[in-house]
Amino acid sequence: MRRYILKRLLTGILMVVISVALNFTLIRLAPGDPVKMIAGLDDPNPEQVRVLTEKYGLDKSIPEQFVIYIKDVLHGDFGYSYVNERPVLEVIGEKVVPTLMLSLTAMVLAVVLGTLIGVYAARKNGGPFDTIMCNMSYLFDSTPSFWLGLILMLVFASTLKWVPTSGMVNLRAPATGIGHVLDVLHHLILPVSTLVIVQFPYYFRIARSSVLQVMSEDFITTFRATGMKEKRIFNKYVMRNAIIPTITVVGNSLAFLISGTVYVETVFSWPGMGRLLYSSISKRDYPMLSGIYLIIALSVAAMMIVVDLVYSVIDPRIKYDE
Amino acid sequence: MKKKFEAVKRAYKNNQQLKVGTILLIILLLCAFLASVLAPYSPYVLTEDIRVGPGVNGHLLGTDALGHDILSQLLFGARTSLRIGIVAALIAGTIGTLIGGIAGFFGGKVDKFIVEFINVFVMTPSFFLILIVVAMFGSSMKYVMIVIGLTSWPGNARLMRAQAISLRNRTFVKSCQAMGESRLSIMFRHIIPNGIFPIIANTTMRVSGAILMESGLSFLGLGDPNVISWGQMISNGKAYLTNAPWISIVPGLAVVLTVLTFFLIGDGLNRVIAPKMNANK
Amino acid sequence: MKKVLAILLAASLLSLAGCNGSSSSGSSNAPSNSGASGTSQSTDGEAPATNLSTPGGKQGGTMVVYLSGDPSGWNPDYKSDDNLWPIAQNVFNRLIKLAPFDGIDMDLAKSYEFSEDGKTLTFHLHEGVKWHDGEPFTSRDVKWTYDTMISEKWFKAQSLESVESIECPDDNTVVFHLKAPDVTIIAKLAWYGTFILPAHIYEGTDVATNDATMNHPIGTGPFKFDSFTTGVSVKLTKNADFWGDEPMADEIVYSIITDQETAYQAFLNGEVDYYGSTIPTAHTHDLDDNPDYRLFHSLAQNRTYITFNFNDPDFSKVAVRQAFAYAVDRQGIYDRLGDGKGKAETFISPLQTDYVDENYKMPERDINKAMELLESAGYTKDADGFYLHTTFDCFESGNFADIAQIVKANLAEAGIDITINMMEYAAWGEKVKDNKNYSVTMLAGYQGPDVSGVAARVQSDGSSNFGGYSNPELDEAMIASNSCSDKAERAKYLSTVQRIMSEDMPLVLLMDNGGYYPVRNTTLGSPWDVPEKAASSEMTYFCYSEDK
Repeated sequence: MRRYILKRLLTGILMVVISVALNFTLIRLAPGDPVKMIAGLDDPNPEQVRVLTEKYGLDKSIPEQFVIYIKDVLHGDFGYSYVNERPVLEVIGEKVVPTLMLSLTAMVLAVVLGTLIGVYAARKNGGPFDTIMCNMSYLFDSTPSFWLGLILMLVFASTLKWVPTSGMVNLRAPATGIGHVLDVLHHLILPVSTLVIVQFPYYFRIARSSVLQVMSEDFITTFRATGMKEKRIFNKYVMRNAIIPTITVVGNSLAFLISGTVYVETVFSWPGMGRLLYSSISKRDYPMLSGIYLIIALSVAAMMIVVDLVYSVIDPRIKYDE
Repeated sequence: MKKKFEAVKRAYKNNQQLKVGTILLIILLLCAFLASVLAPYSPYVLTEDIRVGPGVNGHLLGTDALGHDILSQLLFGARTSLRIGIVAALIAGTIGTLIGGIAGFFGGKVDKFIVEFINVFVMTPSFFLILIVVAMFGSSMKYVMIVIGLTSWPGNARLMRAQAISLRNRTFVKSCQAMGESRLSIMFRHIIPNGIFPIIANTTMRVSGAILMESGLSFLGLGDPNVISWGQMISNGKAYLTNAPWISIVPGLAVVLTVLTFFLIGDGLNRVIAPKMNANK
Repeated sequence: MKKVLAILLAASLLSLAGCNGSSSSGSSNAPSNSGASGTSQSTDGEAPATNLSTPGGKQGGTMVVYLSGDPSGWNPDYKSDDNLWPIAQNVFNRLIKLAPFDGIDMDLAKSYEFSEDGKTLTFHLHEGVKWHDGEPFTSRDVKWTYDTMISEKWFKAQSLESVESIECPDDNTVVFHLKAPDVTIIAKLAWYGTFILPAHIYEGTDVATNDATMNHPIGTGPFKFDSFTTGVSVKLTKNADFWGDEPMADEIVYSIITDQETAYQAFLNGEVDYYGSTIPTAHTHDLDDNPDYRLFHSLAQNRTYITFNFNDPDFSKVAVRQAFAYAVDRQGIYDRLGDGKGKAETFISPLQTDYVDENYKMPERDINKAMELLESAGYTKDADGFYLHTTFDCFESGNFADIAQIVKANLAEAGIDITINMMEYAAWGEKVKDNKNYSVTMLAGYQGPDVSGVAARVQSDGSSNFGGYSNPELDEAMIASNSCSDKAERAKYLSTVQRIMSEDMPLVLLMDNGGYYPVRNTTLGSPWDVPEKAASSEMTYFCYSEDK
């Protein structure tokens, strides 16, 4: 087992490097010159463009730039954002917390609600509850998050005035301590609700369909035939097998939590990674983008290992190092 | 073979979901194909009725802020949106099933290689890849469609792989192997058919996912203004939610209907292909 | 030399210099919301004598202002940055400043005068002005700023093209020696990229990496920079030592909201005190009868237009460009998107009432004429009924996608098929501006308060004329007009410019931008309320009303 984990770690690191190299190259191949974006596309000062191009090493070939970047990263230097000259890690650090606050909360709620309701609906397959929940899942699954967010905003912020429109804190009267926490929670309600509503159908359907599938398996039928109690079959055998697809998708989603949700963050002006990623792409902020990919890739690699481990606990049939 | 077909036909007849789904799909496809016949206006024509409500001046569903007839846009938008949804979902479903199935069933080195390949792929947020493609080639719908498909298969591959791993140790698979059936044949005859249910569920979702993804691009101002799509109609109309809600609600309902159609079909198919599932109701 | 005259110059150029308020810009500056109670006028009249900068206002408090994106640095002269612009108005000062309604107010300069020959411009500065770090401000700061701007070619260095040298006879006097008389310089100094920077902080350092550029700007303005959280807010605090009128608010917090609709809702819901932009097109007239708001209508010398790649074999032909002008339905665009805006009928902005020549106008829509023009240029219809297929490269910005769709529909009627290529700004910049790999594109943007702004778009070396349009006769007239102190004479030169524009059709004008600026009645002293005192976006006088 330990050897397995070590091996996973090594391949994981290799994958991260390849992935970062790929993104590093792709964004540089895309049209758009970061230096021109910095100098101002309107009246760029040619001298400034020349100096900056040299300063950022953009006159070198892409492989050269990549080698320099990797060297710097190994020395713990992730570079400075082109846009505001701040250290990349510092800016990312600033955004990670709000992002996790929003996305993690929403995801936990969506997974728990989706799975519970999905499993329950599958047990009552075809009943009224199942029908209603399925229809709701269709409805919410086909709603664009930015549109839903705006509707929730118009209803609950603009009309009912229960919650703030956007942002993370009340800028006019910033609170501290517990007041700050409550303020942030208050601002979280709308974006979290939006995310839960659009994500819930995903987990609902995965849970429901895998439970249905497992329940149709031969071995379940056999258990039934032997007169085993329905409840025992369900808790002991169905759940354990049906939860595997859910774990897979939760693992995937967890890994990407850190990349944020650009639409909901934009609609609610939430200062998260999604907006940072998007604006870094629009401004061709290469060091910032490389930093973000590196973090995402690391997070994905880590989650994969965790998911594998969880599998091995839940489904002992999966073996390692055959 | 014929017997099997007969069985499917019988199951189909008894499956209410699939029936409703198919009828809806036929209606949708008819709308798309006959758009030029059914639509009262050209979807691109700017009528003199600007932002009028449903029913006004013969515009059954009203007009948008530029004066486009929404019914006509809706019909023509069906072409684009269905194409985006179906093409992207099919690409993602096919690639995902094949790659995941091979990895899970064959195991060993093949599996390791594929898993790492998927991992590299997964580490790049698909949103980023789509933006890069838009930056490189402009916001042409064709590229957007293919890229959405090419970026959304890893989820399917993962699911299929997990299924295949779980299935390959089953007795019936083992016995097929013992009887000397070729690995490829086992994969296509047993692993994929038996493990595909979650992928079907996932792929039917991808139809709406792709339609919504395109809408999101419009929200960021990167839609393709040369074609009419529901996603773009929703995104263009969202600013008017307070004083002309029909502009975005009408295409929104169309997306809901489409998603519903594909879910009904997906679910129904599940039941027809795997009649066991109904047995324990 | 010409007839001369400093006074005339100043007066002709800007009837607004000094503190005489009200605009000549052709747009009404009265709140158009007649139902509004407690508008600026009535408060001005009723307020008892008080030493408050804004009579009837509440001193102190935090005012929240909408900002549409992160500023990317804090040096307002070094590079162009629309997100820093409103903040710079409060942290920095210029010699003279651009006010709402395209007016011009005095700023660090108390007064200025031109010499008889129009080649010497002298500014008299306020005394006792201090930088935010306590150092005294002197004329040397002015000299350092503008000398450096010219020598290091900062983004608006072109504004100071006519400056030969700058000298400081004493701490409170700055003298500009001009190469030739330049009637545009006052407007250009007031406009953009011309804020006075602290020489004692910058001198001898690398401007790009100086702490004042990167982290903490030091200015002389009514508010000091306090802090910045990316994607959230920029906080300014009141400058207690401010040399001008005492700022009303204790703090100005810019709330960074990237989605316009969200920002508008936050404004309506009272979380944002000052919206600062025009009401979004989707909501125009929503507030017309709302007694809680007053609306200010303003047009700017900011025009949306189609322009071409003049080296493209199709678009080097005048007939094709003229065909575009005849085919486009400007009235249609106006009806759909133009509420509060203008129809762009004349070749220079309608705000320049002294210089607009009504003899030259964009043609009325005439599809047959457009097709005739194309046929005369040798085009024939293909099987699909089109004379010409081309690509329309646009970047995503405001209403560009909507306008592009209308233009596409209009041109199709005249047998011109365009494919819209919507791009990110960065990609557009490379494809269109740098590589000139395009045929047709669309632009808009503020051209500054002076009529000479059009030069950037049509003069051969104009900074926004990247399509290669060049007409020596136009260049000559444009340049001559800049040193022309006599208004009638200047109008004559500009008439030539307009005639050539109507003949060559380098720009197919679509719309004059502007709109309704909303101000909530619980707040007073917005820049729109006091255009004679405040620069646009200046928050010195902005506060809650006493009765809130």
